[in-house]
Amino acid sequence: MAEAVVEFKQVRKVYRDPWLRRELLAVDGVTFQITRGEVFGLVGPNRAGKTTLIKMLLTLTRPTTGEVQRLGQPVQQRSTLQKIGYMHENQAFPRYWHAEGLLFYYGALTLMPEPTVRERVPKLLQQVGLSDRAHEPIRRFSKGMVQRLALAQALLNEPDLLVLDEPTEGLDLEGRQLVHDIVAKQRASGKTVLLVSHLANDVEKLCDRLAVIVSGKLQYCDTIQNLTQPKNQAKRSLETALQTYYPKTHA
Amino acid sequence: MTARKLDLPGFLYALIWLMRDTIRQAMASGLFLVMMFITLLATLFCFGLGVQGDVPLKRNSNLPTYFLPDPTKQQFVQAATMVALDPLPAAAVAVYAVKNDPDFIANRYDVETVRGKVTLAFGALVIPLTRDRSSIAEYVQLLLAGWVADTAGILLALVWTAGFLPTFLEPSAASVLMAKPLPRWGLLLGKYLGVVCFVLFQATLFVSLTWLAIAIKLGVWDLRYLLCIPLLVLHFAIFFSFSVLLAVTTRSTVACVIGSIAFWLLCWAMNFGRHAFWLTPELQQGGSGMLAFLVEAGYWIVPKPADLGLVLFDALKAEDYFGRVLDVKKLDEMGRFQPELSIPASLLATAGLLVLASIQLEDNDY
Repeated sequence: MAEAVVEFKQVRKVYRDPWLRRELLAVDGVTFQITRGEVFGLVGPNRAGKTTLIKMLLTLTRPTTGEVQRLGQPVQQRSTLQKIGYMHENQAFPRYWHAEGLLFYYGALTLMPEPTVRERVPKLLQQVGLSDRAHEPIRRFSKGMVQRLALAQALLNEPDLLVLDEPTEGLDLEGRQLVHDIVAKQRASGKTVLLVSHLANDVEKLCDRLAVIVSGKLQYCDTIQNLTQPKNQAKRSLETALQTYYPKTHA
Repeated sequence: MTARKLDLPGFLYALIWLMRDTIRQAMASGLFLVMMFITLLATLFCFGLGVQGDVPLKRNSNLPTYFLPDPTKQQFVQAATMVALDPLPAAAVAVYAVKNDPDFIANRYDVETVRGKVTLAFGALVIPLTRDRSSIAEYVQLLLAGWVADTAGILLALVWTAGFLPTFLEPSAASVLMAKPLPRWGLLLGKYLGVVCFVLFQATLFVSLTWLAIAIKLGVWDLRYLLCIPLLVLHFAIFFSFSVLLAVTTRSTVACVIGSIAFWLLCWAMNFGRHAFWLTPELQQGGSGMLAFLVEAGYWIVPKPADLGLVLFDALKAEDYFGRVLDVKKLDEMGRFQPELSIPASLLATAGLLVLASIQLEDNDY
C-alpha cells in the first residue's frame, strides 16, 4: 500500500466565538488520506470547509477532535513543515520587499541553509518568469505577478508536499499553463500535490483523485474517473458531476 | 532539499531576517525618515548653540551649587586692600541697593563675575549666562534626554511602531509565515527584537549626534549623557512588550496605540504613587497594612518607568537645574529606592508579557 503523506482521521472543527457565544461547525468528521506521488484535488462550494482542512494540515488551526497527520507525523511536529510548500489563496506579501529579497527572507524562515537559498532563488524566479523583475518592489507587481511569486515561494524548499490554494486565481493563460507545468513536474518527480480549486477544469486536468467537501462533510473521495463516468453511465464533465453534491443554491 | 533542523544557528539566521524585515517595514512606513528628521532638528539646535564670556566655575561634589574658582593669593590681597582703603564702602552698598546693579560693586572692587551670554539658533537668540558652558551643555542634554527623548520620543515611538505587529499578524500575511517550521514564538521574538533594534539605532543616532554637536560647539565632552541610550531603549522595550501582547490578542493598531499609552500612564502612576506613599507619613498613618501591601505588590509587579527616569536624571544631575519631584535621597535612606532590583524586576515583567503574548499567539487560529 502506498505511503500516506496526508491523513485526516475523523476530524472535526468547531470555531467558537467566546464573546458572542456562537459556534460554527466548519468540518464534521472528515476522514481521507493522500498518498505519496499523487495529485489530489479538494473541491467544494464556498464555506464548505476546504480552507479549514488545509489550515489544520499546516498547523494554522487545531482540530476540535480527530487526528491529522502530515508526512507520517502528527501535525504538531513542526519540523515536517520544512518539507511542505504552501501557496495561500489571497497572498499578501509585505509590499516593501523586492522579489529576490522576499524569497531569501522566506528561505530563512523555512530554516534553509543560505547557500541553498542562494542557489535556488535565481532558478525559481526564472521558472515563474520574474527573473527580470527580481529587484523590483512587490508594490509595483500586478496580481498575476504576485501569484507567480507566491508559487516560487511555495517551491523554494523543493517540497515533498505542495499545497496550492486556488493557484490559478488572477493568472492569465500563460500563468495557468505555468501552474499546470509545475504540478506535472512535481508529479513526475514523485512529489505530492494537494490542489484546492473552484475551477473544475483545472482539477479534471491535473488531479488523480479528489475529495468533495460540502458543509464540512466529506461527500466523495475517489478517482475523477469514477465520478465523471460512473458504472453503466455516459461520461459527463466534472463540473456537471459535482453539481449532484452541491446544494441547490450553488448549482 | 537539505533542510536544517531548528538548531541555534538556523534560529538566529531566521531572527536576523525577521529583524531585517522590520527595518524595511519601518523604512517603508516613513517612520525611519520622520525619526531621522527629528534627530536632524535636534542636532541642528545643538550646533546652533554658542557660549561667550563664560568663566570656568569650581565644582564641589559635596555642595549643591557651583562657585567661582578660588582667587590667587595676589588677587585676594589686592581685593582686600581695595575694600580696606575704600573711603565710601557704605555708599557703595547704598548705590547697589538703589540701582540694583551687582556690576557696580563688582567693578568697583574688581570682583570676577560671570557676565557671558548663550546664543541659540546660530546667534538669532541671546540669553544672559550666569553659569559656565558645562552647565549649559548639561542643561541642554537634560532637556534632550529627559523630555525630548525619554518622554515625547518614547511615546511617539510607541505610537508609530504600534502598527507593525498587527500588520504582520494579519491572517492573509501571517498564514504563510506560520506554515513555516520556525515556531510562532520565534516569529514574535524576531519582530519584537527588530522593533527594539530600530529604536536602538534611532536612539543611538539621536544621542550621539546631539552629544557630538554639543561637544564640538561648547567643548564639553561629558560621556554621562551617552548613558541615556541604554536607558531609553530599555524604557521602550518594556512598554513595547505590552503593545505586542495587545497586537496578538486584538490584531488592532488602535488597540495597541491606546492600550500601550494607557499602560504607560498606569505604570508611571503606580511607580510615583508608591514612592509618594512612602514619602508621605500621613498616607502611611491613615492607611492600613493592607494598603501598604497592595502598593508594594503593584509596584513590584508592573514595570517601573519612573525608576528608570530617576536613574537617568541622577546621572545627568537634574537636581542642579530642576526642582525635585521626589526626594530620592530620602527614599534611598529608607531602603525604598533600589534601582538595582527594580530595573531587573521591570525586565522580568517584560519577559512575562512576551511569554503571555507567545502563549496567546500559539493558541490563535489562522
